[in-house]
Amino acid sequence: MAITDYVSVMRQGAMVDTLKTSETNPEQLAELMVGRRVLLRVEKTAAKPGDTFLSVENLVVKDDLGVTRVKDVSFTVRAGEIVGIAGVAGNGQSELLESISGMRDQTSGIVRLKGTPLSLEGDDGAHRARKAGLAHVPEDRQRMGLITAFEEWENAMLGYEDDPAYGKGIILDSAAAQAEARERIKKFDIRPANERLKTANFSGGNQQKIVLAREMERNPDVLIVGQPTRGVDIGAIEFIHNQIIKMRDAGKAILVVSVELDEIRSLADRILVMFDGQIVGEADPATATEGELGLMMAGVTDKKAAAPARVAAQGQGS
Amino acid sequence: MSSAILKPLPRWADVVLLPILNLALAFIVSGLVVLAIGQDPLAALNAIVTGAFGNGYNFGYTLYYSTNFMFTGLAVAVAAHAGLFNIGGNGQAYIAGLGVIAVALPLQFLPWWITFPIAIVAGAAVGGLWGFIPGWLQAKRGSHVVITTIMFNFIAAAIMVYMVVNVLRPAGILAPESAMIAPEGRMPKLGAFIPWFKNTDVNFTLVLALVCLVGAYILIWHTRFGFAMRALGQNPTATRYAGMSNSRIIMIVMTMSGALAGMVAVNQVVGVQYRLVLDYVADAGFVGIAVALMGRNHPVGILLAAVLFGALYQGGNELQYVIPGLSKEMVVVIQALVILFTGAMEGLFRPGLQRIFMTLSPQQKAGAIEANSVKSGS
Repeated sequence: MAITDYVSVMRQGAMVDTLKTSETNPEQLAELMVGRRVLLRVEKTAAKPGDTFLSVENLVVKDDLGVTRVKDVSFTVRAGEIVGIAGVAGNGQSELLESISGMRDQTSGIVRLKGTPLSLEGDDGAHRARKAGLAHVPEDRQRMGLITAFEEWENAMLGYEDDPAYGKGIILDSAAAQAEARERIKKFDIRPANERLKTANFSGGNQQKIVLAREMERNPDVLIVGQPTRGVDIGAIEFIHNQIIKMRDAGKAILVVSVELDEIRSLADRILVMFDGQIVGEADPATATEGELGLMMAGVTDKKAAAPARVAAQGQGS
Repeated sequence: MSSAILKPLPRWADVVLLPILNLALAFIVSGLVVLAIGQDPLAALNAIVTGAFGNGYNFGYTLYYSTNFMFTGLAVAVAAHAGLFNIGGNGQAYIAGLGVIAVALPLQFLPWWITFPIAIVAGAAVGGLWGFIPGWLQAKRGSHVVITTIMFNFIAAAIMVYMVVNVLRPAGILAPESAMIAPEGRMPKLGAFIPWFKNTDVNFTLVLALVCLVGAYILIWHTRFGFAMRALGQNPTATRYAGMSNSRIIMIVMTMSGALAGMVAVNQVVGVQYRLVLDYVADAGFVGIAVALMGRNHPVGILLAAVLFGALYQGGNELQYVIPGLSKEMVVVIQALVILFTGAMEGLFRPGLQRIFMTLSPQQKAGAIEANSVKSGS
């Protein structure tokens, strides 16, 4: 806003508009950036939040290149509520999820589950997180959540392969695992209903259901979900949203990260907005407008509103 | 574009027909090479087959070579399932001899069935250590196992020369070798149980190799750890997501791989040579790579491929006596062609076979036509 003459807005790989900077305002740009789409209505009652199940305190996380991507983030998720983290992709959400779930080492900070600090360091941190009752549906099911070359039943136990239900001692009882996979296929209506089929041959929506079934059926206290419906067909979206709400109503704490603002607004009971590795604001999905959220996602908060003006003044002075 | 409409082959064609075609092609090209140097290819083939399988004596030696290749093939395959390329089978098999001789000489007056299990443990421990160190370096330091295992082959060779010449060689013996193990501590030859094998080098270690094949099958497909290592081999990000500890899996798998290669030392030291000599591995570690490749990292495939390569070794030895114009090196050419066609160019016949299968199956043909018309329509 301070140094340009024209502003072009890009969304989903296309230039949606080009405007004169002097004739536009941040609200309009935010709306263009987010885009107006039909808001998916999700049937849900008001949340009845209970005790704090997940608390993240002063979390700092670096990415693979050593760049700090999560900068001193603190928040809590209570039982019986869905907290959504909104933000433009690449503002630290992925690193935040990976860190809380034990996939990525944290630089500093504490993650508590029902008050007990989780020990997440080391490359088996995700295993300890699961044992403690934190389930994770990852952002990228094909790269993280599934081994697409494996058969469906093998993915249905990924991360839980040491469960005594799958055999005695070191032996893996594939018949028991397959029987359980068949049950879940029925319960989550995964198609085709064949636990021996290679996972790569399932559609995106059904692959996501395989991951959801695996993580939800463990009855975890905390469920964290990244991009719950990315690349998923409309029918499966509704099913997945309903499953998440069902878990909330069963008194679980749920953290959802999505770049789809509509999804966050319709699913979450409380929205946290993440920008440049920090939680820049909290909003109530019932009252917050798309424009307000869009502004926060672009890093413009009330506190910072004066900043661009100051830059502009300096620009004129020099 | 045309390849997109081809359906995958039925499993039996993929597992049985394709390798047979590849093998046939390797032999045909080998025949042309034999022809080119002015010899009769059919006579050469006959000499190799008779030399490998013709009688109990020849077959015994084929099985003796095969025993080594089963161990080294398994070593490569187990690592490959976890996505690790262990090229250090040679070094691991070689240095394991230190462990075997270290227990075999002190225990030489005990019956063989007491020495045997202890020799297995000692060979596995030293071979396993030689796999563990590169595994540890990969897991904790990020040094690639391909590089480190190659280097460890050379380190093993240097250590063995030092140990055999300076430490293990008894006073008064000039040859670079350790003292002989007393007859009581030697592994019985199979000829002692099955007279047909005569006094060939195939010994009780073959049974150990078969046990290892079965054990590897159970490990890879029917244990929790096997699941974890196959998962790591397919998708290391997913195993991190699952919390399986990739570094732990890498170290365990490399140790197991080294231990399997180390079983070659049991075969050679207490089964054949009855002492520690230099270079007894004879590149079995590298042949193991070809065996695993051809056997598709499956124990049954490794068994068959190991017997094939054992037959080529033994048949090749006989070849030079039967046809003086063909040297032992001819067999190296055949091996190279077998590796080329069954390993590197394994998919050579696949598109053609897929087309043939599609023409034969009307249902698949209809599907393909439909897919094609949709494509041209869009």
